[in-house]
Amino acid sequence: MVFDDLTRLGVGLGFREPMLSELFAYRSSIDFLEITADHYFDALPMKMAELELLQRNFPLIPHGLAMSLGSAEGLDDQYVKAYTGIVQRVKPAWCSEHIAFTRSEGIDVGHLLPLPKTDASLRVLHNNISKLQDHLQVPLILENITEMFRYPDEKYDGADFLCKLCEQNEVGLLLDVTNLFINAANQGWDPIEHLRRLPTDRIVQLHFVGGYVEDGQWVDSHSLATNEEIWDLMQSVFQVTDVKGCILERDEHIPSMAELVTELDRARGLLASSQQLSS
Amino acid sequence: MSSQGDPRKQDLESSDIAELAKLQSMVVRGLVRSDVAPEDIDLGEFERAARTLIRKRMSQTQNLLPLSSRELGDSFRGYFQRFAQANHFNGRRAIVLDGLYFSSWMLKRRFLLNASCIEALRWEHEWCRLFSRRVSLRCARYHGHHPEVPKGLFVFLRAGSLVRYWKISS
Repeated sequence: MVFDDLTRLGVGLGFREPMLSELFAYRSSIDFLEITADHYFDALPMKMAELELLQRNFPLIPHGLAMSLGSAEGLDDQYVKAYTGIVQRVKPAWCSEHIAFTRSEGIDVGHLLPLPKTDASLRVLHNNISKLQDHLQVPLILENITEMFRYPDEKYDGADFLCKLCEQNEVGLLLDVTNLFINAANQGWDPIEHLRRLPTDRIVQLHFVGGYVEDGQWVDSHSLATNEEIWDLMQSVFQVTDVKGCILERDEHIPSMAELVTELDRARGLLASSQQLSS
Repeated sequence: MSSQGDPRKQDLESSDIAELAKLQSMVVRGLVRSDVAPEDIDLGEFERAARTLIRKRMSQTQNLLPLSSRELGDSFRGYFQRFAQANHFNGRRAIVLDGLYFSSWMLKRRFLLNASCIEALRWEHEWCRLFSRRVSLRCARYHGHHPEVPKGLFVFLRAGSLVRYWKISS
């Protein structure tokens, strides 16, 4: 699969219901929307009508939250069916999920948990990704998460683990620039050096949003405007790869659409200038 | 990736995956049930992760119980932390169950609360109860509800998965 041939979608927003009322007034400033696939599982007709409305007006990318691709116990068939049902309905350019697990022995923590960076995790991911891809007709891209804790005796570091993952699977990367920044800051490594070691031809999409520092640790709260440090890192990402889409992800304290669009315009400006330089 | 045709390698791989499953189970139980953290994981990092999960639950519950959250003010955080340590989170519908159980848990402590706070908790608990039952939900969709209550008129409106309601003072 050549990820370079995917449609260039531009700069958009992670759609959240409170945005709906202002969304259409700012339609010309939003190139595409990322929808949370899980919000439309087993949904009432009114919710599905919302999806149809969005689909008529924006290119959509479905983003899953709880596939738990890293679960050693395998995938939940019902979840796979619901997720692929939304993907089939939306007919997106690609779809996305996380490099994480959320579930074990019937308990779902409702949060993305890191995997130990070992060969066993890579095998589990390979098995689960293959099973999911059997049901998908569009490319799958996978997101790096914020690592709230680390495991001892990991065989790979973050960049090597992503390289192996891409070697072993036909997947693209959804690089969450904020998560990359936060992991680097909290764990004390250089995000630029990490970025240079990634398979940059696989980076299809970016996520960005602001975080804050609490007790000396960065927190991925999805609740603040993008920090300058994260804008700088985004610019570095644009210099090494030709991304097809960037999504601003605000979940908490969602400001007015005018404020969100200011951030989208800034991202669009950075993306455009890096593309001009490379052409 | 495949180890087909090499039974020894297959055995090693399946034992690796079984070990990973065991580790994942310990992580999940450690975070959700405050069991002992898996060995060798930094305790400080692990406890911070557990606190992050509780903070996320709290934020979601505040969105689900806006009036109760307003009435409880700064004490909401302390109450919810005590509740969350004793009540585990599990699954996709767990957000609404947190709202249901937390409001119920608070109502058992009604002697600590003023009348308007009890009223807010009662109404939002009732809504969570309806919301947690799909049959009731289906009956409720698209309808506005105007139940008279002793201290005013509440208007409930359901749109998609969001619930909005307003209290009209009498």
